[in-house]
Amino acid sequence: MAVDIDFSSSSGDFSYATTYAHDAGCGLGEETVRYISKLKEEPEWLLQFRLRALKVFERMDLPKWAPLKKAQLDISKLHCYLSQGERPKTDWEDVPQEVKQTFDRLGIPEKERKFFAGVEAQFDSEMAYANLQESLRAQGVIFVNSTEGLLHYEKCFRPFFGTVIPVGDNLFSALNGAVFSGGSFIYVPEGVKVKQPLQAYFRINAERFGQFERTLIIIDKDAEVTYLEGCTAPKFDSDTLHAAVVEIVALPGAKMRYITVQNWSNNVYNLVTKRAIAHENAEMRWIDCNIGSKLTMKYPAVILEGEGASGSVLSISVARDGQRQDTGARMIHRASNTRSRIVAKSLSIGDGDSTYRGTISMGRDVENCRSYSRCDAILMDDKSISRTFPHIDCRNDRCIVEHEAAVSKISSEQLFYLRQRGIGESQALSLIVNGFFDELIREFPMEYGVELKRLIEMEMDAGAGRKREGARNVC
Amino acid sequence: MFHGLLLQDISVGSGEKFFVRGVSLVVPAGELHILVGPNGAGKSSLLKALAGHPDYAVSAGEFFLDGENLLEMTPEERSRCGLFLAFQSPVPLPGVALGRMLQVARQERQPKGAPIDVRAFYGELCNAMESLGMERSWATRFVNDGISGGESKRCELLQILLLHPKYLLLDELDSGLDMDAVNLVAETLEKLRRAGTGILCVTHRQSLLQTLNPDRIHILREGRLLCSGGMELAEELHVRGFQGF
Amino acid sequence: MSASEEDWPTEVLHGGEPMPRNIAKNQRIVDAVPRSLALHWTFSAGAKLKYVLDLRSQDREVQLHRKVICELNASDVSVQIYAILRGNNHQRISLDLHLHHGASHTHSVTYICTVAEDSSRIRTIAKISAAERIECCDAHLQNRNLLLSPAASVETTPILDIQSNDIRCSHGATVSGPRPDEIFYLRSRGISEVVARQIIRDAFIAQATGNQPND
Repeated sequence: MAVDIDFSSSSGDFSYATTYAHDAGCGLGEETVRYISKLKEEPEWLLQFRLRALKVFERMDLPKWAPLKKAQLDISKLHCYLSQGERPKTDWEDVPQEVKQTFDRLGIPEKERKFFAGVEAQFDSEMAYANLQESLRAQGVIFVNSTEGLLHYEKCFRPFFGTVIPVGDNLFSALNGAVFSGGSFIYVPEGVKVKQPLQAYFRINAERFGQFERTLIIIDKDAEVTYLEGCTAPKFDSDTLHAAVVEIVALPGAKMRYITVQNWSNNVYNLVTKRAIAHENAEMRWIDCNIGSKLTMKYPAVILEGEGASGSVLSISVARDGQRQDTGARMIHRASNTRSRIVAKSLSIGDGDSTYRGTISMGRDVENCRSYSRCDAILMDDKSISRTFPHIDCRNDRCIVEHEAAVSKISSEQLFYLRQRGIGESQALSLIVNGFFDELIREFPMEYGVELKRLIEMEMDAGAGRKREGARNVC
Repeated sequence: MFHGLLLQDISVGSGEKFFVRGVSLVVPAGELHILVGPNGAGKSSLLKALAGHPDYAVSAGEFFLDGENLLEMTPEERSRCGLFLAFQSPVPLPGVALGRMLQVARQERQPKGAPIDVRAFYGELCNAMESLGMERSWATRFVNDGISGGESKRCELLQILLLHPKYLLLDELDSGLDMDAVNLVAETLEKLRRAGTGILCVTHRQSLLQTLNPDRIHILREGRLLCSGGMELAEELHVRGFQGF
Repeated sequence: MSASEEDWPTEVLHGGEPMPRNIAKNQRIVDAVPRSLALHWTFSAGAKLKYVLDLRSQDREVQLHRKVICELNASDVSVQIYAILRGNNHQRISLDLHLHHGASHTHSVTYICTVAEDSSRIRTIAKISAAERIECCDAHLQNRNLLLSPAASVETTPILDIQSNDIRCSHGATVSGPRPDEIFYLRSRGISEVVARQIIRDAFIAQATGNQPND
């Protein structure tokens, strides 16, 4: 089942002139929030939620360690809501032409036919398309956007909404709480194992725009699902903002795999809060690949709430010239017999900056918990930057935490070995770098793996244009 | 044109650290020569310098392969001219599969990037693995990663069989090998020699001289070539040891 | 450890030394000062420092802090650090270490071992940073933490901030209590759990000091 998956930023670098039926105007204020809430016909409780979030956003600031200042966001120039005003279609033929041609060009409808159990395609602020295999719908699986989830499946989603990531958690969760739109609300009933992945594709088309999707996934007892998220945007000269919130609740015995391939163009500020709560014996896996964006701040977290729960974060990060990937993971062990694993690998090219921030926390009353984390970084060029801030906090004597990290350039012995086999330097570098990421790339579905390798090679080739190839004194 | 490796007055190193000084020797195509000397004599350094290792620069002298001046070439260009260096302790390449690396190496030898016949290549790979007693799973194992000395030598031999070099530089090929493995290596080298490959083997163990039956022996000590001769040198070496030269 | 290192002049800190100070040649510095101190060293080219820290106190409620900055700003400088932090009762012990590689051909190796007993809390921050455009540097850090009672706690943050690519850098940290199989083994030989923990603690420290020259 060969599927042609293309996440390269050049293939996503196009946009179509679109007329938006609904536009909240530039900037963010109470009237923006009311506009959005009224348009979506939201109940009073949801409007109040948004207004509270707005107040928190206005009051809050970023933490000192953040690689960004609140003022840089310049929300006053951004459109916080743009849409066609249509409900999502379930047939590609019904999707408005300008939107459809975008997704056709990205190959989404074709992929859906061949590969996915369900697809949602978001265009700027709203879902243009959403479809779920009939068999899954019949089993009670819900896969809708946030508005539909909160309005038509309130009993299902409202009890969990905002509980994993409260509004005041950080500046971006407050921002998102005020103006969120789109995103996936998913419920998988008890015992249902969804075999093929559910896919969401986020597309930014407009300039000077903020996309604030909100995702809430609830996997009931012993259910299983994989969710794949891809995002692209055209390369505009102005900045674009993507501040998303992803909340996941894995009930006892549930298994969840959340895979992201992020290749936003390098004018996008990508600020995402992702957190899962794992109950007894649940398994939560975040599989994250960050290649694009101007700045990404994303630290997937798992709260290990129930005994026997396990969480893992596998992260690939590539930072090229002018890019900053500030990513990491947080594992909070609140119950006994829980396990966590973090493997983060990064590549910095040119003056690209890759930073890892991690937290492992073992509470006072837990026992027999284990955590293993490893961060490896390759710095291609002499201006490349790598930073690692792993924080371990252990408050009992019955747990084991292990952490290791290493930073280096490409090994000259490895390079020489391949060159002695007749392989040119840039091919040799590709082999070594793909080898470096290999154990993580294997975690992605195969078609994505192939595409990821290609993307990484493209980033290296682009970086190589600036690289000075000369004899270096090796010691 | 002379078919062979020609080293003329090769010096490796500079300033305070000279690895090798003024070494001249010739390895004609189809002959097996052994360069023998005690540990630290400079044998490995010489081979690495000939292959273009960035840490071992040739500071003086000439090096020709079938009349081509290799010193002006990058390591990969030297390889494509037909030079193969089998390392003593090959570096691991985690995540890089052996089959893939060889496929890329073959592809890079194609004129003007013409694609190779991948099916034919893998067929050839399987045959070569079989002839060396290697299981097919080796094609997907990571190069030199988590394998024993004997296994890594077999991988080097596999690469030789697939890249068809004209000349081999072998660095301590018997280190870490048991007798069976040494014999397998010796058999393979003999086949290659008869097919016209020129071979320069480097070792500090005199026992290898008997096993390989070289056409010529060269003795290296403290970076200098002391003398060259036929198998009669092997006898003398056995009697006098390296210090006797 | 070579014989030449044993010949290095040893200085024992008493806590009154003015900082920053420059290390001009080989120097071994022993620090067992049971008070909070801030130490700051710069280096002349070719200098080597071995800094041995044993941080503990008899005061059951003490808060003990050590801040150490090493600026490796000249070439061919090498620094070795061996630190043991011990906490008991209600003590709060912390180490804030920063090794900055600001020049080419600099090397650092750091071992930090901590043992937290009773209700003590030990905090370690160990930062290795490397400036732009330096060449041929090496920096490695190991941090091992042993928790010996349910109420003890450890926090550790080993940081790497690397802005040059010609440096090989690594760190590792482990935090754990005594291994259950080790405790069980000793108990199966008739040793009480309390004493077994003490034996394990002493073995951990002996291993840590084994890395150091005569303590």
